Amino acid sequence: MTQKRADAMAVEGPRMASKPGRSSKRQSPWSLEKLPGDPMMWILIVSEIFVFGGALWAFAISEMLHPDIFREARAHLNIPVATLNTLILLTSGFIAAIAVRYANSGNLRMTRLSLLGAGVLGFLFILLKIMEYWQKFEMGVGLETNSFYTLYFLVTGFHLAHVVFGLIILAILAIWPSKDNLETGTAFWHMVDLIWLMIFPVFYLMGVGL
Amino acid sequence: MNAQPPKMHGIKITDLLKAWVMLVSLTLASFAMSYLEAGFLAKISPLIIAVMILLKSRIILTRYLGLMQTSAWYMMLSATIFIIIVICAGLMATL
Repeated sequence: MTQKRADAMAVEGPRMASKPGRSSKRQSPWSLEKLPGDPMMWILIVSEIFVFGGALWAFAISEMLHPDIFREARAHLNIPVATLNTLILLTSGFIAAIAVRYANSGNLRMTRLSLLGAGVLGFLFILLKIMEYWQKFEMGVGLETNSFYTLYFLVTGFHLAHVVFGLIILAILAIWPSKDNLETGTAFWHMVDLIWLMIFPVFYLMGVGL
Repeated sequence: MNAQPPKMHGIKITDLLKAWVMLVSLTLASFAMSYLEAGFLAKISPLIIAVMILLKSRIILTRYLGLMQTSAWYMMLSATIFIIIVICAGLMATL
């Protein structure tokens, strides 16, 4: 290790010192260093928004091509349960954000309790979603019924997989609640929130009154 | 001496609570919009709901994800969401 790098580590810590000259040069507005948590999480967040955005466009275009099928299928969606699920996920995100604040103030017990609360609500989201899928299967509706349900199961199912993964991340955060871990992990959880806020209105609400 | 950049978004819990109340209100308003049966308002409801999505995404990006200090990233993400949602709403409003 060079003397210059050793000095930088003493002042800035190993992560910051690994970027030579970062403290002396003016940062780009696109600098990943300014973002909370691990920069790679932000690459993931951007790519996930693009992936789900493409899926939502596919849904909207498909609705233009088959308006009658979509109108009829949408009438069978359980909008009150989906709205409740949205509120549950939003509340879970709020509690996860509070966990970061508790971690900053060094209150480990409340940090873990907040993460537990966020996780319980995430679990409730999964249960309601499974109940919703179950109702569809009981109606004889499946992945191959029509293009509406193909996209519905694929997009909401892919999002559900993210919720499951998010719960695993929240559990890991509760075990190792360091500041960096919490910022990175809760950023993932907020991304899951953000994506659901796009999916919910497009699938459930936008075409209802038309 | 602390040479680290201010990475933590120093938002108070009361501000987070206000953001949550706003998100819940907008969600309930979107839900109510979906019950409009006919008329001009029902026709433009996808666009109104799209505006609500954009407001909600703005709250999450700034308050929860802490992008207030990184305007370039905030602008990029909110513009991406704007384009996705406006195109979806536009396609549905033309039905």
